[in-house]
Amino acid sequence: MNELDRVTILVVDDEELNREMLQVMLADLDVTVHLACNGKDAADQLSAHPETDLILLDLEMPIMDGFELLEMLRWHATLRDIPVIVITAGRSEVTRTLSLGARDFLTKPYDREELTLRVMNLVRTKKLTDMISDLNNSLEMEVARKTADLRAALEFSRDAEYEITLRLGRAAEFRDLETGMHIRRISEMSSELAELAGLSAQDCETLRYASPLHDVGKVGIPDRILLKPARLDDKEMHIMRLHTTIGGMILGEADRYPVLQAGGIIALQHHEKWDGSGYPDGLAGRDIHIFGRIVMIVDVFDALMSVRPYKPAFPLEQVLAIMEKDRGVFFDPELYDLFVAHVEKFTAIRDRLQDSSNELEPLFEFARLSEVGFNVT
Amino acid sequence: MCITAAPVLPVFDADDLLARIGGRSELIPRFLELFRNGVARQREELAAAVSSGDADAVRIAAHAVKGSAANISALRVHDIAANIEKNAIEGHINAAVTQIPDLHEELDRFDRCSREQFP
Repeated sequence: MNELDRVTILVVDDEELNREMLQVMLADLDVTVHLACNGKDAADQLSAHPETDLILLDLEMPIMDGFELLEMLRWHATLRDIPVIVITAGRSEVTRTLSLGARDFLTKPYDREELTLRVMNLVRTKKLTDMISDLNNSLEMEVARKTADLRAALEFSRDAEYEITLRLGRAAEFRDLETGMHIRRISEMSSELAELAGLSAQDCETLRYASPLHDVGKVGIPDRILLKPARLDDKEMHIMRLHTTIGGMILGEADRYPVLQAGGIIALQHHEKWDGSGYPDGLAGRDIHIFGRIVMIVDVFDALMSVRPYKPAFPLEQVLAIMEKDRGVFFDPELYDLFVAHVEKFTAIRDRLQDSSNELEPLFEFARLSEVGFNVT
Repeated sequence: MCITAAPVLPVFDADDLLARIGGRSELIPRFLELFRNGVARQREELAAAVSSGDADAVRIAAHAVKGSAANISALRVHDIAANIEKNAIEGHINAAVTQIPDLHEELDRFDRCSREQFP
């Protein structure tokens, strides 16, 4: 009788004889029996034992009778699922009790076998209902857990994409004379200027992670050119400029990866100039993607503000004076004006993300004046 | 003897009781005691109901006697209690009241008879 394990039955009758007879007859079923002598007492017992599986209910009782208890149970949020067998001394009340929600009835005198069979039938049904309800609850919990896992996995994959772009950016930076902090400053500054230009929060975020990739194509430029300690000749300059095209190729065909795709656009277009004199495609004005136009401004600004093997750090006034001449030539004039109007935001980023002293010292020993496309003198 | 000739119903059908409780005869004295205790109270309630002329109280008390009698296999008590209840339900309070002495008589008879069998 495994299915009757841990079965709890509430017997409700005002006559002690009836209660005790039922208790004796149920004893063989190995169930826990609670006793109540009226409806009120039964309600208290059910509060104390909400796990009750079945109620055996007499109808005529003082204080609160069986009909009242049935009515109360019918509207109860949880107790209404407990099946009730009504005990009657005649068939006259059967219809009324069944219409009040009783599942079955039993007439006096009690017969042990009949009682056992009726009780077992209902208890089995109750246990199955409980099992299904438990199963539903655990399935719901499982679905919630899986959904959370999925969300976490999605977040992880997005983080992974960001992480890859940052590290790819760092890889390129080791081929160049730029510092790790330069990459991070470009990232922050690009995002800042994008926000000033009214780009969506998502685009700003994309740009924050894509802009470090602007020079990734430098991994394809030979050392003799990249690290040449002298001015590049025309042929070398032509090869050097290929870093834009190479970056576009490295990051191309990335429709499914918005950050890599943006990185590809930036790598390809960050040397395009507003007047069409840039490279590799000579794009002009708004034909240059706004990401490219933004990175062009902050990249030049940060380079001018920084120490390089071939130049000292210029003070802000001098930097702005140099850049002003290229407003509308190199730079998108509207973006440039926004940049200048909020230049303190960009100097604050520089203050926050300063170069560590000797990060690239060994490289500096080899490198001399390898200006790349932007002549500061 | 506990079985009278004229009405067919036995006063105390101990075999029926024994069969319904799975042959556990050791429980019968305890059940008889509980029956007697309960019935003593029900008799008082019945008397009070009659003296106040409360038909519904008569019905309730008779109903309780009927149920207990059925459970203890006091078949004749059950029969008379059922009749009283029926009359009370139908509003025949006088008919119900006239049967009450018979009920007391049968209850006493059951008491003697059951004590003989289960001293």
